[in-house]
Amino acid sequence: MTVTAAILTIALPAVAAVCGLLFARSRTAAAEWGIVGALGAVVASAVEAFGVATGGSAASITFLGRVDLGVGTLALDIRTDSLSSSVSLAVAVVAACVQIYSTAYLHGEGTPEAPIRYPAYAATVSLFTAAMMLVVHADDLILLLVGWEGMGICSYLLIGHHSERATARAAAVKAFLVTRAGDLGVMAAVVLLLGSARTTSIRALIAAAEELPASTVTAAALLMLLGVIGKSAQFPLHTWLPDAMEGPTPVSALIHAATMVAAGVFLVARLLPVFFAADGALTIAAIVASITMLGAALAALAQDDLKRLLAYSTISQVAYMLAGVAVAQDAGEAAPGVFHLLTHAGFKALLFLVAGCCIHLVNSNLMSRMGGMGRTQPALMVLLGLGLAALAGIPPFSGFWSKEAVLTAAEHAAVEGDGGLVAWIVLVSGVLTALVTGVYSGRAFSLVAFGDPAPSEDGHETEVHRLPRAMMWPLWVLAVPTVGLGLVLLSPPDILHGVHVSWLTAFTGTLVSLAGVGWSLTVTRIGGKDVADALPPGVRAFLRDGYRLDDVQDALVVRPYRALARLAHAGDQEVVDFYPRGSVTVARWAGLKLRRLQAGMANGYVAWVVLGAVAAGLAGVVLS
Amino acid sequence: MSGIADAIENVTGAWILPIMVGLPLIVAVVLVIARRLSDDVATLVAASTATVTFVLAILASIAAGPYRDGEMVLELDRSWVPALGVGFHFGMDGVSAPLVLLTGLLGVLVCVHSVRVRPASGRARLLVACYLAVVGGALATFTVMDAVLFFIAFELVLVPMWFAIAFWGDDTQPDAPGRPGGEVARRDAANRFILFTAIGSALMLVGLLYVALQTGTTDLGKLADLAGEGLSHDVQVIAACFIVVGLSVKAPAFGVHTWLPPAHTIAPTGGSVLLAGVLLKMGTYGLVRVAVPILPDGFRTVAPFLALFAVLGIVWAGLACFVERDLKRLIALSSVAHMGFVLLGIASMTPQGLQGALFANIAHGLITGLLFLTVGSLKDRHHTADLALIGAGLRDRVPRLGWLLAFGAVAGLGLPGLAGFWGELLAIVGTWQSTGASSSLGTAGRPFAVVAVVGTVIAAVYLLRVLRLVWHGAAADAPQRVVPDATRHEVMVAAPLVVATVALGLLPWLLLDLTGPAVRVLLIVSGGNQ
Repeated sequence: MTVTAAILTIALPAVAAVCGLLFARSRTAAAEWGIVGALGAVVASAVEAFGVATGGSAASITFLGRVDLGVGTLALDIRTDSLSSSVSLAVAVVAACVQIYSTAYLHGEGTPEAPIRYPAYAATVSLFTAAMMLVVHADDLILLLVGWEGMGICSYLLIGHHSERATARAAAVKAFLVTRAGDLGVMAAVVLLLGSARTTSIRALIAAAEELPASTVTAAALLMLLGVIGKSAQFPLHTWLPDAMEGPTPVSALIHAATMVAAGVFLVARLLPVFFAADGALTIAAIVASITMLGAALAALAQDDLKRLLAYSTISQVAYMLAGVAVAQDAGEAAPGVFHLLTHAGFKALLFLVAGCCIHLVNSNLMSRMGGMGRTQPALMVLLGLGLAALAGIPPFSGFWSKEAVLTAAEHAAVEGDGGLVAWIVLVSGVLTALVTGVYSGRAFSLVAFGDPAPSEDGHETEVHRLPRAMMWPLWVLAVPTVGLGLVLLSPPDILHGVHVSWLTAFTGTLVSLAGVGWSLTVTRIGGKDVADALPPGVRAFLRDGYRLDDVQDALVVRPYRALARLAHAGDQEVVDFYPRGSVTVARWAGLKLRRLQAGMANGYVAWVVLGAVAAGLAGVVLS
Repeated sequence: MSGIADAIENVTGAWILPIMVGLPLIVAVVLVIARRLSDDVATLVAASTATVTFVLAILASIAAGPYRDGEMVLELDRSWVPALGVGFHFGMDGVSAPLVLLTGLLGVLVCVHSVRVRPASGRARLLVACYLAVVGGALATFTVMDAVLFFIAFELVLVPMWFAIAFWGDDTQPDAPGRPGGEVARRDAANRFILFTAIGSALMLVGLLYVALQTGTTDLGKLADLAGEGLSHDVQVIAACFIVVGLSVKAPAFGVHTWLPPAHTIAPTGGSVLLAGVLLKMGTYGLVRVAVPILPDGFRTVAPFLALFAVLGIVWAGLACFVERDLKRLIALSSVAHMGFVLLGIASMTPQGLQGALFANIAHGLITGLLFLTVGSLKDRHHTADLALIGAGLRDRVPRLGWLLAFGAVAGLGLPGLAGFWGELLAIVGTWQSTGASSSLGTAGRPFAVVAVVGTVIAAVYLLRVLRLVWHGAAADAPQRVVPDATRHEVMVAAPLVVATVALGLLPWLLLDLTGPAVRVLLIVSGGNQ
């Protein structure tokens, strides 16, 4: 039953996607297909989680068949275990909330200039859900790659959903290409593993991680890490994620916060024994995560756009997850990172959907346009507060437990384990990031909930209106894990058994976060407008533009590539084509002769075919 | 399945192969002769003939099963010209079956397509006759097991394809710098096509005859069993040079590919589909069927050079696609990159590489076929294939055509889960494996594999550019806003390609189980690296 449920978590959204595209004649029907698929996935993953919790050990089953490759058998199997069932439950819940929320968020049919394209939208979200489920359940690296790239293309389609906007088009291409460049690593790792380990089965790789040649394991782990960095938007391949906010907000909640970006961390957690056996891979992962978490948090501090703030915050939080996995002292200890993945899925989805409501109300992403919502939308602001409190790591909200678990693991590795300098870097960076996170969370809340909205350019006052029910209900659903997911530690599932929260770390972390939140909230109380005003304007702009890494990318990759492409294109016509042109006289001559033949009847051509065949035969006779 | 196989055994036996080859050829001749036949009737006749041929191909591939041990089960061997040792020898195994099925399918699609979509210059009767002749010739190429017959079949295809380009080609191409358009462009494309491929076949013929002279037989089965025995290393290298170069023109390998973009750009839609889906495959099939098993030593010597040009093609053509303006020409150029993976897989001489090559062959036929059908429909509507003139917003203006184009592009960039992925992956795996002293690529294998991995991103770059320019974007910006969307008929023609692309992408064993054993037999006999 558990296995059937696992297959259904993949199959139901996939079927919903296909049916929604092919059979939905109306917008409502398309929306229904999407919701039914997602709710089906929720039920299926709940059954799966229950089965895993009661049934115990991991199960594996043939899914898409087996292929004998000569070097070994490629088994496209799926597996269910504590990790897959808990992550798939989170994915399914967020997906269902997003499908329901979207029906109201993307309301109407749009205009001919900017159509809503709802059937394509709902189907792509369903397809994305299926792809993520495939990643979560795959027991083979190639099968995982199928889901992995499937998510990538859905992400591309959804970021570019409003493709009449040039920025959306550019962001979609950028997201796909940057992550695809990282995925080269995964592809290369597959090639390497098929060559040396003769298998890409995740089960077999985990079992054989210690026996495989050290060079193979190290190379494969480092290559996969490249894919992880791309997909999880870690430095320096993170530049696509802030731009990805061009997608509709519910999509940002599902793909660019709760699920797909966390898939990179999931891959490391899934293959932790392989990463553990590899020399230096986890060290590099920890350093990348330390740089990313602090850098992205600082960039989040300087944003004026609420969605971009949340995007940088996602980059920073995913770095926490990666760090939580990377400081593992034992090949089985992915728990702190995975726990943060689960709590983050809940509260970040909530935050994005709340942001969607705010954007829906004022028709702008800018926080300066959103002030004063504490008076007009109290319920929404309570939800925003819950989400931000969890993000900042204030007890007792979910983010507190998981963030402190990560910090505890880092401290444990630094002080007692053999994590050494790297673990210290993670710990220091983690604590500093907690401070900055507190500051930008408090700043976001004070800008949106307090103060007064800046008048819009056209002088038109936004009227206060009630949010549709379909947009509010999913928020309350997501608020439940945001508040209460810490309770799961009372009776943790297998995958969370390694989660510990040390009191000292928790106390320090909480103090730091509270200090940050308190600071930014006080600034507005004592007359300041925005805590980010404390930054020098040049620094602020530099941070807001994400350290201008886009310019670097442009100069190092994009422009040289264009130049190279022009060179190749010109070369193809001018250089490679030289000798055929040299023979152009011959061609002319042949052309004239052949044209004369064309004057004849069609039967004549048949004769030529026969004649040619005969001539060939004769040539054979003469020569043999 | 076994019931069907038995029934075929009782009714036709292996004669099903020559029947399958002969039927479209005979009907093609009849269509040419029957001048009174209206185009409507002629295209219907062609479509039904192609359908029957496809059914025969399916039956034959069932009878040739179960492909488990890689031996050729369905075989017809009659002596024909005993004095020459030329045999009337047909056979089908796991290497040929997928290509036969692909040819049959594409034959049905282009003929059914012509039932409704007629060439601007008329004479659809003769055009479908050309298509049928190409299909028949290609089926012959994929099933004959005699070198002389192989050459004849190979040549047979060129003539009708030349007609298709020269008579029904597009003569409205605008002038481009250094490249005149109009009638000149059409003549140039047709002549280039015939010159390049005829010279290629001539080289191949020399190689084949040289082998035949040295061994005294032209039977491909016997030659493969000999596996180069009795041929000195030098003889093998010389013969392999001729045969590989000759077949590379058809494939096409980088450097001898410049006939391909004009031919594709000018050819009518069905012609482009057959050109990409069938003709290019004859070159790579020839390498697998003739060069690798018959001249293993010689091919091993030539392989690094073939691989070098394959890798160059992957990178160079992929880069050039990024700035190409004409959509048809772009897809043609991208074929050079895709066929680069096929050639690379063959050059690796490993089971994975060869299987990857055969898989990529089929995948390219399906995906590029789909793209040419879609782009053909776009060109019919916009009267141009220039990206700037087609204009933005296809997803809103013509949703069905838009989605077909987007699907084709996504499949073309080798997305895992669609057919294009497996061939590229296995070809790269094979190249990576082909390392060490006894391998065909030696020290070059791994660098080539790395470049090929990078090549998989290049495809994404140029295909997303296409989508960004014409699929995305505001419909209001398009120069021609109101064009009709794909008809039900056009969607039905494209649908089998979409379904097959998804099916092979998710269930790769559908194809790999066919080719695997046959490829291993080929390589064990020829002592290739395992």
